[in-house]
Amino acid sequence: MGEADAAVNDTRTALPAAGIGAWLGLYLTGMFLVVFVPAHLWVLHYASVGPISARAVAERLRTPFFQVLDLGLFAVALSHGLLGLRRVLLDFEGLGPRVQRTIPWVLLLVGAAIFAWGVQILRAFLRVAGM
Amino acid sequence: MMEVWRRPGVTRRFLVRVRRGAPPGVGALAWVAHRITGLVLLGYLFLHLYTLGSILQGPAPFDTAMALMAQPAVRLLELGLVWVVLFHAFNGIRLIVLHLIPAASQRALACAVGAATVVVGLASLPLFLP
Repeated sequence: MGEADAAVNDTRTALPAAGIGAWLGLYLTGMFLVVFVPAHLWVLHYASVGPISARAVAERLRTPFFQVLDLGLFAVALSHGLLGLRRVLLDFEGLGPRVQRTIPWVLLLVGAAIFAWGVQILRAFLRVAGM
Repeated sequence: MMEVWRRPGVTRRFLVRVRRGAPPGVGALAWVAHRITGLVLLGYLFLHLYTLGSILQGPAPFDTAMALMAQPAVRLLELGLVWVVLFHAFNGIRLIVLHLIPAASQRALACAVGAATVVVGLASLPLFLP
């Protein structure tokens, strides 16, 4: 093993950066995405033919199945991304404990705002579907 | 399970050692690539939401945005994105395997990630080619 490997070796098995909950969340959402992102791509690129149109998307989103699936996938992907970003940010040294403790809350607020934006987009599609 | 605080500065220590001339092994390279692809994918998630957000202005602006997405140049970028997703997914599986089996061979696992990315990437080409 090279010297440069030693620098990252502790990410191999160590539970990284503050919090078994965040670590478990990153791994569980990751496992979910490994299954559902390919499914999402399959639905949009294989199972549906023709160009993507507002009408077609709205029609698909009429069913509660796709409403839950799309919003759930969005929530999980967003959580995974922000948990990953949290890890990147917490890797910076010299932040100080106060900044370190603040980062998760800032990310949570940012995540909640972005999720609300996603809900608005879903509602806009439902309006197009006449719901 | 109790020691959940990792020493920060992994990125800095990695860069310092590489600058000193220590060649990074497959595990370290995969770690860097995982971080870069992860940030790219988070950026894409916002872009994805931004383009879908055109529906807030009504169906016509949304259809215009989707027509732009159907342009060959954008489809080519999308193809690149598929490879980024595939690498990040397979490398994520590698990390889970390493966590469950710490003694697993770094080299063998990294080769498996590379092979799976290339094979699935090539197999999915017909779906995503412009």
